Amino acid sequence: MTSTTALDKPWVRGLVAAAFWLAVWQVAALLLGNTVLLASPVDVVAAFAALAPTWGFWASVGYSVARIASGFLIAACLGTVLAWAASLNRWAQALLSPPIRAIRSVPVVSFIILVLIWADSSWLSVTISALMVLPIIFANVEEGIGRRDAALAELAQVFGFSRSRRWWGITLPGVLPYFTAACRVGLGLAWKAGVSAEVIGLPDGSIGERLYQAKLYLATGDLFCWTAVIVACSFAFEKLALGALSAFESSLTRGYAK
Amino acid sequence: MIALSEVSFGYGDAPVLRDVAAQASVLTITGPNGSGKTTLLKLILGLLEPSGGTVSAPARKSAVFQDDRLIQHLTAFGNVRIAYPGKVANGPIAAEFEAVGLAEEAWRRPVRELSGGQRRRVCLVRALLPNSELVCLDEPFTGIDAESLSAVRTYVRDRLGARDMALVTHNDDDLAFFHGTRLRLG
Repeated sequence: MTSTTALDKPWVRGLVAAAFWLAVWQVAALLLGNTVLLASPVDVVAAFAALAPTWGFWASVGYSVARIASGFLIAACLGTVLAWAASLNRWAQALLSPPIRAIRSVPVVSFIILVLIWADSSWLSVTISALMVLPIIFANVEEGIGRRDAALAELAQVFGFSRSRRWWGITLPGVLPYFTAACRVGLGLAWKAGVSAEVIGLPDGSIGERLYQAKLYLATGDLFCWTAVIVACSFAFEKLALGALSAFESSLTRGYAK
Repeated sequence: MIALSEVSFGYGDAPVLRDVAAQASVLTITGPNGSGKTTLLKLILGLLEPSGGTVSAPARKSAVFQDDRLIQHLTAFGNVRIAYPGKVANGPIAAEFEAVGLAEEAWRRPVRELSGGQRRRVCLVRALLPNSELVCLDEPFTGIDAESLSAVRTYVRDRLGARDMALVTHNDDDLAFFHGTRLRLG
C-alpha cells in the first residue's frame, strides 16, 4: 500500500521514467559498441567531468549565455515598445507590420549569413536570438493590448482613476499574461536559434564553436555533453525569467491589497 | 441633481431611447428588458453621448455596474482602494465591509474567488466609499441573499446620505425603499 502511494507521486514517476530511458540509452550504446555513433551516458558524464574543471568550459558557457540572454532581453524590450506603438497609432502599425512579418517568415539561416556579411561573428547569437524572439513578443503584446478589458476602462473613466492607477491596476496586469506567454515560447527559441547561429558562424569561444569542434573530432561524448549544457542553461534561464515575471505579477496584486 | 432633457439615443439605426425627460436627486429607473435602462445609466455616467437632448449630472461619479467590473486579480481591499481618490487605510474599508456584511475571510482574497453576493458587496462598498456626488446603481442587489437584502438596502441608503443617485431596478421593494422619482422606460 505504501509503495503504491510513493509511485503515485509525479516526481517519482519522472525519476523512474528518466532512469528507464537512461538504461535504454546505456544498453543501446553497449550493444552498438561504437562511441562515435552513440556515446553512452557514462561517456557523457566522463566528458563533463573532463570539461567542467577547465576555464575554457565556463568561458564558453558565459560567452553564449551573455549573448543569447542579451538578444532575448533586447527583443523583449524592443518588441514591447514597438507593439505599444503599433497599438496606439495606425500608421505605426502599418509601418511595423511588414518588417515584423518578414522577420517571422525569412529562414533563420538567411539572417545568419546576412549578419556574417555585415558584422563580426561575435554579434551573431545576440542578433539571431533577438530576431527570432522579436516577432513573438510583438504579436503577443499587440494582442494583449488589443484585448484590454473595455469594461474596466469604463470603470476607470467613471471613478476617475489617475493615469498611474490605470497603468498599474488595469493595463499592465491585462497585458502581462500575453507578455509572459510570449516569453515562455521565446526563451527556448532564443537558445535554439542562438546556438544554431553559433555553430554556423563559429564565433571564438562560444558553445556553438565547441559543438562544431566535437563534430570535427567525432567526439560524440563531448557533443552530448555540450547539448546537455545547452538544455540546462536554457532551462535555468527560463526558470529565472519566468520566476521574475511571476514575482512582478504578484507585486502588482500586493500593491493595492495588503 | 440629475437632469435629463429630451434625451435620445440609438445604437446605429436602432433607437433605444427617445425624448426621455426627468429631473431628480434620486432617480429610479424601471422598465422591461431591452428598454434602455442601462443605456440611460451610461448616458448619466458620461460613458455615452446622447444623439439628442442633454444630460446634466454631477461631475464626480461612482457606480455599481450591471456586471461587477471588479479587477479580478486584486483582493476585495484592492478593488476598493484603487477606486478611492487618494490613499486610504485598511481600517475605514474594513469597517465598510463589516457594515455591508462581507465576511472577514473574503477581504484579502482575490475577488475572482468570491461568490456572486460577496462580489456585489465589494461593488457596493467601492461605489459608496469614494467621495462622489452621484452614485449610479444598476441592479445593485443582484445575488444578495434574501435574509441580508434589507440590511444591505439600509447600508446603501445610509452611505448615500445627501448624494444624488440613479438606481436601475426591477424590484418593487427597491422602489418603495428609496422613494425616488420614478422613470419607467419602454
